[in-house]
Amino acid sequence: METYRFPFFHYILHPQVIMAVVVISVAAALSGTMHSLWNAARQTPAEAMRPEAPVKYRVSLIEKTGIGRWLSQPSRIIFRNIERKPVKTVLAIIGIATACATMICSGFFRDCIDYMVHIQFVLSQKEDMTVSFVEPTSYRAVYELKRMEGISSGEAFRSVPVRMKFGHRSYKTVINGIQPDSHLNILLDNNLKSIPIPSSGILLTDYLGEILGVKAGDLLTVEALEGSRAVRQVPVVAMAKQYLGVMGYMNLEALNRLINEGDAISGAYLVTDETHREKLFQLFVQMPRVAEIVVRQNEIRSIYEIMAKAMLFFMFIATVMACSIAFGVVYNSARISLAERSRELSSLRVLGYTRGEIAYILLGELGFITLVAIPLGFIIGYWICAYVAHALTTDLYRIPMIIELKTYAQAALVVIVSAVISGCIVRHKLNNLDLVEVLKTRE
Amino acid sequence: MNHVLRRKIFILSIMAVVAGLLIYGFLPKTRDVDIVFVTRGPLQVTIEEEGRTRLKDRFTISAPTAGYLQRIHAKVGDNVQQGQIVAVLEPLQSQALDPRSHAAARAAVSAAEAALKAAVEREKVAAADAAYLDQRRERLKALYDKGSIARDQFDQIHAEAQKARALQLSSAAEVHRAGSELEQARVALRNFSAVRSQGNAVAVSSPVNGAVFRIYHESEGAVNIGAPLMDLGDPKNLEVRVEVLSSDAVKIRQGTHVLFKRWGNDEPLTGSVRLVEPAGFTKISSLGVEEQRVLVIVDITSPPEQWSVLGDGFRMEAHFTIWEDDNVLQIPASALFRAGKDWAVFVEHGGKARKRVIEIGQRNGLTAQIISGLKENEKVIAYPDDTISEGTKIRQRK
Repeated sequence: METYRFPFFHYILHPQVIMAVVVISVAAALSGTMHSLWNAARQTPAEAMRPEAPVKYRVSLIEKTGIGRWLSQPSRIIFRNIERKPVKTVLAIIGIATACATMICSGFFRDCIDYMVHIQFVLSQKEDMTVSFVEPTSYRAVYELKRMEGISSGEAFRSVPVRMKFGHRSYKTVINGIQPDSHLNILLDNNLKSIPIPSSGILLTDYLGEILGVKAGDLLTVEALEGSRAVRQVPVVAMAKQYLGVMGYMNLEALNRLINEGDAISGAYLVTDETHREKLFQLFVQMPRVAEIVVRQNEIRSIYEIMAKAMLFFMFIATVMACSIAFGVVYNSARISLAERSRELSSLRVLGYTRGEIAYILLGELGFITLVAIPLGFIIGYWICAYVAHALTTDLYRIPMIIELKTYAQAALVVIVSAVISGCIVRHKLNNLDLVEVLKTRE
Repeated sequence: MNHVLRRKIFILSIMAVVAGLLIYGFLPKTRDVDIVFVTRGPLQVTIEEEGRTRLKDRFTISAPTAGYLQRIHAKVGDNVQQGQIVAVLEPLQSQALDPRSHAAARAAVSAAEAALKAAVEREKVAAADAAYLDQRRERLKALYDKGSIARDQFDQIHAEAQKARALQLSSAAEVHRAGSELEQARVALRNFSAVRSQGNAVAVSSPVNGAVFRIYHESEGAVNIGAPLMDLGDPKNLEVRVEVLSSDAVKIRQGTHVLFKRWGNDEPLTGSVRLVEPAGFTKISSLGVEEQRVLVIVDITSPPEQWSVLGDGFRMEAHFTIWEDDNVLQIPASALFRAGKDWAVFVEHGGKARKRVIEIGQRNGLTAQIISGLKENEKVIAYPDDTISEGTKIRQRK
């Protein structure tokens, strides 16, 4: 199903965008390396040729707190190393956390659409088909619809376009009049409990309440934009939680009374037998009075179809980005550590440590960083998603702050797998360390 | 303990924890659903249709003759007693003459006057004849007495004299007639339009005790014979007429129980079907479709005090109970879904959803009767959506 079909669609990449990309990337890279490069460039050749001064060893945290007693020697090496290079450790953690957060954001879109669809089309709307008429019709039409073969039950509704005013604020929308004991259209409060339709008085979508600045108990002025064009005041009874659209809800009879009309209805919610659905659809298409037929299943399917394409692609991009970041950070960290400490590690090998043990020293540190970064990534991801949800709030839709466990698990999995792969590569390099060559390096 | 072994255990345990957490994250979610029980209870299948009240017996008072109706002062809603005079008809007024008729009438008067004159002269002729013949008879009688003439001659003159006398009387009567015709012509010329005679008024009285329901002709004026004047009826005697689809009418019979809702009060009224008319008629429905409808007449069986506010032509929503049972195994109809040609539900068993094909019987919009497949107190998912399938973990939504 196509939503848009443009005769031509030019993608224009503005030069400003390219400039911004270049500037940001270069600036980020430079800010990370400038200090070291500058120092390196500043050194005189004679100084630079001298062997590196030994690292300043001192009593570290693990000795002070006494944890050191439970740790094996390689483990102590890991923690001391972490403590010695705090900036590098923190930046690596943040880097991996960002990768995790990216994955969470992409999963968040799928989760929130699932949730919105669930609230709107499963908890709130329980009809199979909604039929709308060309113009307001007598209530009797509901009996006729309920009697058709294949329709199990039906409820009438009235939809009146109105302008709502409160103080100096106004908003043009629709009031839906529904039956008080409605089983097919249920309004939910913040705790997802159903709100009973009051016998008079109006319920508003929570976001509409914000737009107009009304709360429960206030008197809202309502101007009907069809029929008698009556201008009336009606008390606001409660707010309903909705993610899609903004509108008001009233008792069907109360609405008709409000705008001075008899028992008119705009359409009906119907529950249909699946085997008759196609036939009913064709019947309705033939009926002169029926203007619009909406099948709920098709609505859900279209939402997913439209969203799915965009979402899948976005998820793909996000996964690629997250993998590159995670892989890049871990591999680079490991590779650089390996380059920096190859002499130490080779010395340890000579001293008798096995290949497994020195691998543990190098990769254990990276493993620790990764495992710490993942929960941090969850938190950063959550904050970013919360900000996005807040920023994208419009009267067309609101985004719920819902992240499924599966999204977290997926993000963690991607990061862990990337880290493991890069870890394996580094391990391979470590195993093939030419001890003799490395030890020849001048101290 | 050996360091190597300890380290291996340590690493393995961390890996196990991480793997465990990942698996936990990827496990299928427990879905929140609404769970309902299979219950036993009453079930009613109803047909709903809009109906209207009407008077059981409606009396239309119509004009018994053509006449001039006096203004009806009664208003709709007034009570009337049996025998009370409700309308008075005066005799019609005469028509005024247009110029041609007036001229014709004047000419008729002249003609009548001339005819009178002619009749008077003709009477004179007859009188003269009669007088002469009388005299002749006298003379001849004298002669007959002396024996001068034959009896026959005398009889002849006697008869002639009598004839002449009769002719004279006849002419006199003709004069009267001419005079009356002149009077008739003169009357036709006269203008009667401004005259109303109260005498000879026809009074129409009410045949029943009741109230006025409709007044067709309120102001004074001329009415035709048979013109309706007002409707009377007993406001306590109401019935409800419902236009039901013919395919529904076959399920309704005399005595079917009816519930009336949405008539203005929250308290529903009860009724009983008195008659399902045998003749159907065509009607265009609210959706623009042609349908065959049948009139069903329902008596209101609630105590009259409850519906004393109802009048004629008030709307009610009639629910005809076409099937009813007190002890029916039932579930909410929303739990049902189609599995091929059959109906199925999701039964909650051990925290998981299990699909089960069942057979249902009667159903109304909200509830369905279970014929086979489910037992009482089994738990069923009330609104199964796409996320539920066989084996999905479920729990009651809080």
